[in-house]
Amino acid sequence: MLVLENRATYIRRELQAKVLKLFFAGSLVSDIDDLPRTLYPRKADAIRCCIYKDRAITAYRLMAILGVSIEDEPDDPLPLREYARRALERSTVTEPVLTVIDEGCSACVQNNYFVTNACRGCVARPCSVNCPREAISFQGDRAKIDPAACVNCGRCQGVCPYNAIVYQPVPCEEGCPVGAIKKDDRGREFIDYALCIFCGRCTRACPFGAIMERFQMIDVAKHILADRPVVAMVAPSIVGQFPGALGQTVAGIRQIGFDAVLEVASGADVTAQNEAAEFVERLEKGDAMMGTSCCPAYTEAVRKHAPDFQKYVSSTRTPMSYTAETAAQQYPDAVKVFIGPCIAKKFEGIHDDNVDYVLTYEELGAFLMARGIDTASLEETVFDATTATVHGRGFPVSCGVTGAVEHYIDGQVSVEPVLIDGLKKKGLNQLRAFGKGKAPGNLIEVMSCEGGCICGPGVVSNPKTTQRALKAFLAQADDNPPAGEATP
Amino acid sequence: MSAKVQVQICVGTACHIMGAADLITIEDLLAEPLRDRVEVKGVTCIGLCKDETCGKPPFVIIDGETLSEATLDKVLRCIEQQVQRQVGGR
Repeated sequence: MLVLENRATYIRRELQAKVLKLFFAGSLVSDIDDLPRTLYPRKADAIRCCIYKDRAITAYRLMAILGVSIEDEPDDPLPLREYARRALERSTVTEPVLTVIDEGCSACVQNNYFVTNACRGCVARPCSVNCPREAISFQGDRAKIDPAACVNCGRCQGVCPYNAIVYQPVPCEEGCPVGAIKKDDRGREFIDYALCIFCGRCTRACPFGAIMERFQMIDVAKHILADRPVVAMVAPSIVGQFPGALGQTVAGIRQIGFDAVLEVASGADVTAQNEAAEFVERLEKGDAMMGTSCCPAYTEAVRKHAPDFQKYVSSTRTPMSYTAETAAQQYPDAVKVFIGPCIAKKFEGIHDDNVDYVLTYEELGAFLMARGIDTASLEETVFDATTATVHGRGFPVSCGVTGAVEHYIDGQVSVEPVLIDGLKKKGLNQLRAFGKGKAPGNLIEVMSCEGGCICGPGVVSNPKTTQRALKAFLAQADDNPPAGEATP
Repeated sequence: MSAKVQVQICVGTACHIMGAADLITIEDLLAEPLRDRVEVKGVTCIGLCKDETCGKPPFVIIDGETLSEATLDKVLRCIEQQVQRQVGGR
């Protein structure tokens, strides 16, 4: 499960707010090159080997925050002001949505098994006897694993009578469900985009913060100061992300400068209704099952890693897609910005003509901080023209989508839900197996993030808190009119 | 019995984003003998985030003393010091 309470999160959030503060003060280009130095002045305690490395890595982080793909830049990057200028001039954002700060990668262990000094160099030496690759030799009175020969089978750890062999994970690789993050010949990580599903887990798993999403905050910020109206489309997992009531967060979003704030839960209701109809139709036609379609990391995982399951994935569009379509009709000249917990949505957004930009809640938080907005002190306002019901609003926790779809199926066919909560290697294998035509149920809900969208990499609040907040919100919103019946 | 140590955790937006949400759980982490001596409260934005000379969020005020870049560890240590001061002062 996602744990965000750490220094890497702190640094990332602080830098985002600083960049936007400079932007709104009109001094982004002139002052951004000073940031690394002001954050790590000569007398500061270095986090890494020295303040110069801290400053260099900070500069790379700022590049990612400006939306740069670091891998594409020269070894000796340009001054930050140049990247800031480019960010202010560009009209679109590009793929890939992630970037690796290879200078920041600590090049974690090659092998996951490591002999500690608890080894007593015993006579029995079961580690070396049971090693299938002759990877263990004895140097002095201690076992040593030859990294070139070791295949990470873990047998040595299992047989050591002193528990002297430990398992050392490589956090980013461990987090990646599809083996897309790998070591180069220097032991530093890179992302193989042919395999990557953009779930973003590696970005929050790396203890060095060496993998980042490419932020789109500057792109949105410049539109906020420009003439075209800017519309925010806010995902249902927003509940509990910021202090105060939901209406106060909506007010905060307006105060940032968004001209309209739409509730993506409205689109979620449309997704649920259409998935329900599609489910009934598919089952009547003889399909064995249907998979949900709203999580972009999962649908990308099916496309790249479980193609046999593709035919079962619902062709219904995502809540973001329906909401953006409505927004395009209502506000034809507007810049449309989706705001959610998700990094994979940045990828989905690039491929959706109705979506201009995708921000995470963290980026939204940076806007609030830069604008000096305290949500809890604001007068509540409501979403513009919402048609959302509790069903759409319940999407962002695991089982929420199933519940909503089941509601709209309304007993027409029998639903046997199967839940893959958090896409890992096991879940992928399940999807591959289901692709052969057999599953222990007929409605397959897949959430790439364990716990659902409220546990996405772009959230601000601890999922335990937001889960409670969402529950309370749904209980109180129980009497909302069903989709389609709301007055505009 | 001396007055309780007053712990005010700012839960304004900036402090919340920078980690205050986590700090609120501090009550659960207090050692048993400390619990009755400490009162933990979340308070609305105290405005320190607007002034860079005050340090960085999250802010916590313990018996009038301001902690910036507060972490669970920093806050716990400060509470312990404060309790000791009270006990010693009696």
